[in-house]
Amino acid sequence: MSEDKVLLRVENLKMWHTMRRGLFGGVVYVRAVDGVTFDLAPGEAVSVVGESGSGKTTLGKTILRLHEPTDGKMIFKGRDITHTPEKELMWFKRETGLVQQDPYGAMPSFMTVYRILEEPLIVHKIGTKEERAEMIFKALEEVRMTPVEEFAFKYPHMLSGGQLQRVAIARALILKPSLVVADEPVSMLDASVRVEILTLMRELQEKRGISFIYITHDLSTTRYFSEWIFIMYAGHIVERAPTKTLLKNPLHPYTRALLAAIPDPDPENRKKFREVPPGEPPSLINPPPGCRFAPRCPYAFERCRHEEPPEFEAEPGHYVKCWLYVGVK
Amino acid sequence: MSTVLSVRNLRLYFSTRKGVVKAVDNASFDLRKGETLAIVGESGCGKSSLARALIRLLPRNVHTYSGEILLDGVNVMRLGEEMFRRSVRWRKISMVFQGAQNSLNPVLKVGFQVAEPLMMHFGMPKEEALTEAKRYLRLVGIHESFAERYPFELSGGMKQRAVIAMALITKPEIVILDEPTSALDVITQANIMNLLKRLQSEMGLSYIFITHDIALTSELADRVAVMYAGEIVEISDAEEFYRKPKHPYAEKLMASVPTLRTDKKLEFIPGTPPSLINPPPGCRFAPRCPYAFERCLKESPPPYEYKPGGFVRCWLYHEGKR
Amino acid sequence: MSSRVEYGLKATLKELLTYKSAILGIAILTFLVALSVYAVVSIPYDEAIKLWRGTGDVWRDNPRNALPEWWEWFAGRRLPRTIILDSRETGFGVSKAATPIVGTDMKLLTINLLFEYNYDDFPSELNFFFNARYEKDPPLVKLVVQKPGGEEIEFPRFSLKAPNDTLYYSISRDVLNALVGYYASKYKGVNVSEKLSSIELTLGRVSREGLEEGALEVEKGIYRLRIEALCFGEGSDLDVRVIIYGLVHGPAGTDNLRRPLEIALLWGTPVALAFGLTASLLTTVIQMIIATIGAWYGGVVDDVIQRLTEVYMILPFLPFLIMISAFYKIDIWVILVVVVILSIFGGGIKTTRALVLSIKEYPYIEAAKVYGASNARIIFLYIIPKILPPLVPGLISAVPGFVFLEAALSFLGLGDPFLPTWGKVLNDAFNAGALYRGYFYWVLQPSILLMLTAFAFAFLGFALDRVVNPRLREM
Repeated sequence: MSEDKVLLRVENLKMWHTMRRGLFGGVVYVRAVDGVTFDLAPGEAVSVVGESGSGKTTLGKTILRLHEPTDGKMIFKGRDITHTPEKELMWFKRETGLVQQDPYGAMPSFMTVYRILEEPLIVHKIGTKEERAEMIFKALEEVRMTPVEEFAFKYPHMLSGGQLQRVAIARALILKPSLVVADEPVSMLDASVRVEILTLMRELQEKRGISFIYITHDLSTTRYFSEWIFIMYAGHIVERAPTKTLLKNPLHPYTRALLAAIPDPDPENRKKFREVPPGEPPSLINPPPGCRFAPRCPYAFERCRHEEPPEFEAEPGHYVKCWLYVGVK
Repeated sequence: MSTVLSVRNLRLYFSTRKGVVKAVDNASFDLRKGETLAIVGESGCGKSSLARALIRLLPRNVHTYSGEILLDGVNVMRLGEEMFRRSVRWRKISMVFQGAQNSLNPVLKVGFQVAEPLMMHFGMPKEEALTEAKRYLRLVGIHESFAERYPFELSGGMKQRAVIAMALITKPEIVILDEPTSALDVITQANIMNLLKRLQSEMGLSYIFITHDIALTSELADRVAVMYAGEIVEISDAEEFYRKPKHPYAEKLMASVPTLRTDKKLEFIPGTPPSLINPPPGCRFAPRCPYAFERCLKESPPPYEYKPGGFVRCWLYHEGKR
Repeated sequence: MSSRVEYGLKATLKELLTYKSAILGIAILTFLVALSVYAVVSIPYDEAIKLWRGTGDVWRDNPRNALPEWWEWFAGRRLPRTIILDSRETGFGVSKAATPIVGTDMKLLTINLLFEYNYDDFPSELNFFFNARYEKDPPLVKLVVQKPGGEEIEFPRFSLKAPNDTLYYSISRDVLNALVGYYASKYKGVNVSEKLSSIELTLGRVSREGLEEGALEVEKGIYRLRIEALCFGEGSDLDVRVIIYGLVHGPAGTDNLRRPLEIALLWGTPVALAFGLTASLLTTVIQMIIATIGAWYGGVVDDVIQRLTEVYMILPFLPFLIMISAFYKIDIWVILVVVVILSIFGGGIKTTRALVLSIKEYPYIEAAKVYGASNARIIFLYIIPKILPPLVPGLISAVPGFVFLEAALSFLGLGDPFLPTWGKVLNDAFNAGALYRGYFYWVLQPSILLMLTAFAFAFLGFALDRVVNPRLREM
């Protein structure tokens, strides 16, 4: 992608958490994100799919600079934000937003919806009191919390999970960011409400041309939401492709396993067994050498167990981190 | 196929500071031997309370607990606590709890915990029980050396398997599975589902599979019961249900579930479920139902048998509108 | 269903009122507050201090160590109140007449004072306060006591020694001799018991047996005191104020300095409440800020604060206070400051810190970091409002501790020497050997008030704790 078409460029990003091991042990690292590279264009929505422990949440938080990367680079709107000190990042914070998984924990219980939405505006010193009021009511309208006067002065405990997520979305969008990270935004909501919230986010994303990084473990929701899917496993992005392509033609063995493992509501399911690899994802403290999926991979061969595969472009726009696709390009 | 469990008019209400919560309101269903009945519903619909009502693990503030639970023809509701504990709980019916991986005692070895039900219910000596426990660990796919380990040494998937072993070791007829794979990743979930399928056919178990994940239910369910606001609003067999659910709520719920393999337009259900303290008169789904008419708001519909063994609580069917 | 059980203030209050203990606590507190308001309004601060110092003759008219009037209920007898007769008053029972003696500049002044005595017990004391005006020679005074029934006892004349002179009738040797002599001659050969006091001989129903045994009952009826004074010089005059001191006085009795205890008890209420609440409030707020800053910033700051707290928790409180009071002038404000300083690194810091550490991880704090809120903003606007509700029960429950502390300090004599507080009353009582002397009310009343205060806050605090901490609730 050409420079001006890139909103966010992530190069070999690593985020290792330090864990002190007791009184006498040395420091131990949890390699949550261990070498991730991708570009994100403006207005583009990407789903980052992985299980718990894959590093997807850490990736999202690192991109927002909630953690400082251990290694690698992050370039946002042409500026290197990898190690910029916090106080110089206010411009970046205005450009980004976060929607979290827990709708109840994400709202301060002692503030009204109005105050919750006003806070980002106050922090960035935007507008007069009247102007802010207007912005807040408009934001509530956009997330369809109407009548706005009623909802604006409710406290979080008066709202349902779905309604709270709408407020969270309004809060994430009120500064008119160019990038929003949504970390499992619907997994704590009831099934019937998930669609509502995802649809709302998609609409707003398209309308405002915001780039979205949608983090989830539920692959089935991605087709409704994003242009691209990144599959994460044990701190790496193992496959990157446009949504339809990946779902129709998964290349990485892990992706294939994932797709094979997910049931659709089909009465025939109970009559057959699913072909899935055994075992569990590796520990991020001592990941195996070579490809991290090798211990469970039905197609693994010698090289897989010793050398970590680089990313190969198996077909235009479709990237796989797997030795099976070496030499394809 | 014989009916191994028959539930009629089961009610479980709780007293709280805010009023009486009608968690399970007049539930009736049958479970046949070797089959799985899935109970599906969203959070707060009462499905977990139903599980607890079946196995009689009740909190202190029970207001009403009534109905009939016929197990092999015997109404176990009439049994006293001690009799129930000795002859029903973990003998005829056992349970795998939600968040089961957290229900393992962190200070006891895994093998011991799996063996415990044998020691308690059959008075089996420890050695014998442990041997049996190791056999069951193998059965669920855990190497027997793990019997000497502590729960924190096992991964999430393994803990779940251990809990399943614990539920099976007394050779019950019926196993209640309450969200057995929540908090597990998709591949592990598929592995556990495979295990449950295998165990069901090998041991002739009957499952009551409780979850909010409709797609997941299709992995095991022969029949599906849908719960809404404390009531069972539909019971259909799998072929009917997954292709075309009958009750408007079930229909809308199915429409809101994203699928991987088919392209479909997702719908959502506006509004929120009613409070279980003061449910509205009439059909509890009526306020949100696109097909509701006057009668729905006034009278609560009784179950309508639209075909043998298939029930739906909806006036549309009583009045032949569908 | 999530377990969010934080409701607004109204709902919390409503919930609180469902606990009987809270209602009881609030009721007692309301009573105490009403008492405080009454105290402050009816006796302004400076007045109270002045009165309590008791300099001069402020309390001269009060009996010493009198019992509270409510004791009568328990005693089952009519206990004597103080009777005051003053020649300057006009009214029933008082008369004053002056008869000049022809040919001289002397006059004979006759003052008659009448009182009815219907009590079952003898008065505690009897004093005559004379107030004379003269140029050269003080008046010559003769006292005659007429008992009910007409019997008159005359006392030898005496001359006033100063314009303001007092006849301490009940302890005067001369008076006693006069009375014993009178009865000895009336009942020939009687051996008047040494146990009998002037008061008993004056106001008692006298009989031979009674005199010998030394036990007399009160003679009820109308008594007449006649004072005949020979005054010298034109314009000379004499007034007398007779005080027959009762055994009971006021709602709370009096102490050995004749001070009505109700003043100290009343005024002790606002002092106790204010001290307890202020100390608790200051300590809680400061602890909260310290704990939050430590928990938020972590690292060295947190470590330092934690170690400091641990050291503090081991240090002995009272010896420090004693040392400080030995060197510095103590008044209630100094005590407050010292107590707060010695409390701020207390155990509350550990619990608050734990609370803050868990709140730090809440999603909404993370969201705040994403939109760029500063650390200060997060601490003061996002964290502290969240930890305030759980701290309130602790705040309330800590009040009795501080109230007792102040009382204990006053009791040990380390408190403010001039402020009338409950502890000070106890200190006075102890120093005067109150319990040995049977002045139980002197100790009982302040103790009851202290306990009442403790109960009120404790009940309220426990109930609040149950409301705010859902885990402690009963379903």
